[in-house]
Amino acid sequence: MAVIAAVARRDLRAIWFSAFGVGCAAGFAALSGVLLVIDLRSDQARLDNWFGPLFVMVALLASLLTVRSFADEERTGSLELLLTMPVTPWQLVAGKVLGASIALSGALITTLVCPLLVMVHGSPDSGPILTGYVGLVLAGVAFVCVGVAVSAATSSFLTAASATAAVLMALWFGGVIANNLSGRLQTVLTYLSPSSHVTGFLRGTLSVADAVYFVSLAILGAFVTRAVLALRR
Amino acid sequence: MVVLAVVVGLNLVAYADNRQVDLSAANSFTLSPETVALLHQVGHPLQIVAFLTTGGPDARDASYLLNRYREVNHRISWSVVDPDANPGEAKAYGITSYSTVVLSYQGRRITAPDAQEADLSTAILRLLRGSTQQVCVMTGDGEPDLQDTGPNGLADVATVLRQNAFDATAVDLTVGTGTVPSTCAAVLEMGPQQPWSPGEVTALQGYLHKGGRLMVLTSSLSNTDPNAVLQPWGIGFEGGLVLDPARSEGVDWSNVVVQDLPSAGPVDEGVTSLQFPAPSALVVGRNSGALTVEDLAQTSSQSYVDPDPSSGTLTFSPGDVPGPAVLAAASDSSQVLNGGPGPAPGVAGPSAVHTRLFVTGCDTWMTNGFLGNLGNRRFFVNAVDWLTGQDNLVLATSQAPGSRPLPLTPALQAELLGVTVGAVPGLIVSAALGRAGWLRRRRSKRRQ
Repeated sequence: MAVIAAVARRDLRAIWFSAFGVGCAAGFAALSGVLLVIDLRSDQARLDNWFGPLFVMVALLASLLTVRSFADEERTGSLELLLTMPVTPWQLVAGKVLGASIALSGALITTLVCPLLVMVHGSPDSGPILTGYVGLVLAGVAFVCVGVAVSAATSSFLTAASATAAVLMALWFGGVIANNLSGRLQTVLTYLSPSSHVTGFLRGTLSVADAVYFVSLAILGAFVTRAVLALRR
Repeated sequence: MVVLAVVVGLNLVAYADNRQVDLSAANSFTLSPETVALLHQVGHPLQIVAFLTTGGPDARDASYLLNRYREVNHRISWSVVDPDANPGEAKAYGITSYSTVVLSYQGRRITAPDAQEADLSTAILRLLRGSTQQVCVMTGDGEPDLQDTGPNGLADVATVLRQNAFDATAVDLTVGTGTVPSTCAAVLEMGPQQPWSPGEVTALQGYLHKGGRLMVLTSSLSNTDPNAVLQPWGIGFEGGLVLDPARSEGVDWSNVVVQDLPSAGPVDEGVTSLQFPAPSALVVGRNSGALTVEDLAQTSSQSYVDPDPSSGTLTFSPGDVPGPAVLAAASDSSQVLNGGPGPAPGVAGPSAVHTRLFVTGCDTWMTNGFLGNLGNRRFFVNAVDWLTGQDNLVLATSQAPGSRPLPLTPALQAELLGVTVGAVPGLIVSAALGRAGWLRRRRSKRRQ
């Protein structure tokens, strides 16, 4: 556990104490504020239309934050050193995922001011706010794992970020394409799309299926990362 | 591969079971056990199209609820269509008001008045039952025509009845045997202008005594006096013209907007206001034995009844009766009849009969010109459903999330943007710059 924490701490420092990380967090907070004002134009103290786009923003943020995991390390030459240290591949993967997840959660914490402001001025239903954040954290960790897997497979900063975003958006739009299909293919594509698992969190429900989906995505991402690292060694 | 198999297996189990915890206020999206059981009976594709203004909270709530329906049974597909953006589609479905939901199943089509669980589930139950009920619409006394599409006609009523799986049949009790056909699930007397003949009165009295279901919509502008039929069931037609200065449409005090709907029963369910032009007052008796009588719609305390509208004075004057006035009422009676139809076909003996009566002192609120106003359509559908025993087919536990107003004033918008776009990112950047500055100072001290 100490090794995992050390890897996570190292990555967190690199993210939070860099202009890139600060810019991501500040930009995320600002954009969430703009989305809040757009949502409140319905003149209702409801945040489900605010949480919806946040899930997409979390996917993009995860793409950016996980670049540091492996791709940027390889670019700077520190990956070779890391791989030769007495750290098992699973400890490395867990540490990278933990570090990026904490960084992403930090960005989510900056958005807490939005529902707090709405609570001060109105009386929103707190249930969907709670489930919205639970969903964002679950989705964020899952997207981070996908990002770490992609980051492990490339040395280019740009390739890692864009490939992660592309994978996540492809999964997302699979659900849109599924609307024009029928039968089992439609069911499978719809289930694989994160968008079909976000609705529950937006309306204030916690679903076992939705939680299992995001946890599964995280587990698969971690296993793919482990496999890629094994190939590299 | 083992991990992949385990993950896929877990997802299959979770997908099939799909347990949920609803943390929303009033369990807005938890379906009742009856609805869940009903949805499991849907064995063929069921399409649900909700006509709502997309982007608004009603459309989002409808999407969430319909998604819940689909989660229970994947044979259910749904969509939300904006009738303003898709007028052709709305016209193709015969949609004339917002919040209408069209359900199609095995070649049959039915509408629900709203995208709430009770409405949707009741409509699905009707579809699964696969049968229509006959409602008999009285003619022969100058009633508006069901085919008439003009403002005083009842073509919209005919459409609403058809969309709710009712077969509307004209019945003229002034000719022939003058008896109400046994196939009538309810008799609707909407806007008679001529007095009832003795034969009609006898036919309606006999019909009610045998467990009939009667709707009477009349006013003092008509020559019909329904009291001989209504009074034994606890409702009396007082007549006159009701004026409500506090709740009226425009400057016409007789164009009453009803906002007091005191009943917790199914007829008032989902109705928040009504428009009753030139209404007359009813008198509602007390409950007695098996007879239950209930006010459904009342005017405000500032209203009054002018017993002689032809006098020309609209302001309150001596002789006027102060309100509130009852404009709509319902009566329900259950009794056991000896020598009646019997408890089962071919079996003689006592049987229970349930008589229901729905009366309004206005005979224009359901015409084409007014049916689409305020809650009139819903009120009419609820009344027919209640008369025919279709009310509350499904007990719903979910409630609509409700309105939580928060007007986005310029001041609030400035505050939100100032804090979320200005202060918070500013703090983050300031903290980072502060730390960088502190590190620089520490390094330079060490060099010294």
